[in-house]
Amino acid sequence: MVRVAAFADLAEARLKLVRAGHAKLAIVRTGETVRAVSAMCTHARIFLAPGELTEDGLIECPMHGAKFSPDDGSVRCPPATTALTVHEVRLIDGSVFADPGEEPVAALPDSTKPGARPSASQWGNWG
Amino acid sequence: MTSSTMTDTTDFAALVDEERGHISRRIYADPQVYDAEQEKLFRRAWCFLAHESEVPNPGDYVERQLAGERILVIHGKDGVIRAFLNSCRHRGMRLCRADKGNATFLRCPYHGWSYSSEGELVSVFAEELYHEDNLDKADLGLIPVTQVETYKGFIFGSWSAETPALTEYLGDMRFYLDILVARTPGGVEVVGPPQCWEVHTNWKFATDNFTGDNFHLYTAHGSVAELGMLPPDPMALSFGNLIQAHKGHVLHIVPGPPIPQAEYFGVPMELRPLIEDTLSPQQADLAKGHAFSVGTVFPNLSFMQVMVQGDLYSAPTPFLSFRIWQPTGPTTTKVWSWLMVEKEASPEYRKATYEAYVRTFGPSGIFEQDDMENWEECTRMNTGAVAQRYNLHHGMALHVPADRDFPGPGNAWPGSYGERTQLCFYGEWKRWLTMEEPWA
Repeated sequence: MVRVAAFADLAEARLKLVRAGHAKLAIVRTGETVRAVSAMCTHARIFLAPGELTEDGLIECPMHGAKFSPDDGSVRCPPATTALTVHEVRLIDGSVFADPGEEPVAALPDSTKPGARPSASQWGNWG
Repeated sequence: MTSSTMTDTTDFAALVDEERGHISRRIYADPQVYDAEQEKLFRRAWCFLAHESEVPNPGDYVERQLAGERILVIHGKDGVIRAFLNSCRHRGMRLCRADKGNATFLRCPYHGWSYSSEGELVSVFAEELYHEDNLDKADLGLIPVTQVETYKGFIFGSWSAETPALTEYLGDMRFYLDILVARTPGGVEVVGPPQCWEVHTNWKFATDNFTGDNFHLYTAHGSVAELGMLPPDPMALSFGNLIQAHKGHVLHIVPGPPIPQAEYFGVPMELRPLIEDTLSPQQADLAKGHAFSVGTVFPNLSFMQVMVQGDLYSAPTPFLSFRIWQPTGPTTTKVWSWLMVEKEASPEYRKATYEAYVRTFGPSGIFEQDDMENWEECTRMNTGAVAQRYNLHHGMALHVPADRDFPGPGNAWPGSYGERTQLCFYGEWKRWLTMEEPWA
């Protein structure tokens, strides 16, 4: 668990992007509850935008308009097909703590490292 | 030389800040920039004119443009390929009015002055009416392009006698060009005449894109991506290297999926032993390890060696295209695009690579149309007086250090998503607009 924010700094129904160790998370406060999901859209790998949720309380990706539930990360509107990962959150003494989760086991290679090569999984039916 | 400042005293040097990655929008729209480019860049730099395979036989010619002036590239009966201003010495008439052809003599359509394929004035109408002191035919040959040189079949010209020799100008870009155009004993040849079309864009938007911009693929070509004709992971094409081969000559070189078909840029298996035998081991390793390369020979000869799906159901197929972006005004560009293929290519591969190219690039290609729409709208927006108060941003991956162990000459930065090569291009552009001897 990593401290990611002060509860008092979280506005109702607004998405905030925070860093939790190796992970970048999107956190949303609803009443006295705070939930955290992975901050990168599962569709085109752009970071979700901080700010207001949609009128129906969803997270909308700024790039292609995919929508996700802030509660369980589920896809509510295409083109995304994969849910955002949910991260456990705890409130302790006015601070918000979040679980960064495991470092991805099959971490994708970093293209800015010398000699890095893409993995077959990135290529779909090209590979 | 005109001055290096504009009428509002802005120095051309202030329009490009390659350290911070800031580019003035004025360079894409201002008539003063256009005029300065014509004088200081396009009338001095080595510009691509034609490929030898376009004029294989004596008498073969093509009409091209160099710094906005029409020229003829002609294969003389003596076997030498020359380039001349396509203008009769009598009244200046456009001597040859066909795009290409074969001629024993070039006869002016206006009064009939005629020239040999070597450019000499050989016949003047009613010649007996000239006093011999008033007609020195030896001095009235076609006006030659000041310098003409050929590299691996690529014919270049320059209107400047001061510009250094072509091999020096290309420098270490030759190492990378050879991987694309001289990787088999026969090298490459054109597949038919070039496609030509006009785009309402400043030429530098096209060049900027062809310095190696893989990060526009999933937005500009979003429909192609949605249909599944790009790899599903938008970072799949972010690998490889951005390379500054020499001064403003830049490229990227990008690996494909980890399968044998995507090695050697995806060319057919029967050509691969030829590549191994022809290139140096270092070059052959780069060819083996990569599937895509896009780049630009400064200022405006760009190339793309890519694998594409011509439609939803066909396998990725490679093609090699060279293109030039010729400014015809501050906001207009004429594109010339050639498909090239190894001379040793089989008829089947020629057909497949031709189809892959035509479906995806050229004026009706599904990728090229997306690009042109973006370049045209970028150009329109950047003509605005208010818009021009704000610089454009070229800052991606500038913090990534160069890979000193990269197995090729020049500077290489790992990762093909980044704006290093654009900034190398604009920095060189600035040097040509502001320096007396930018090549020094």
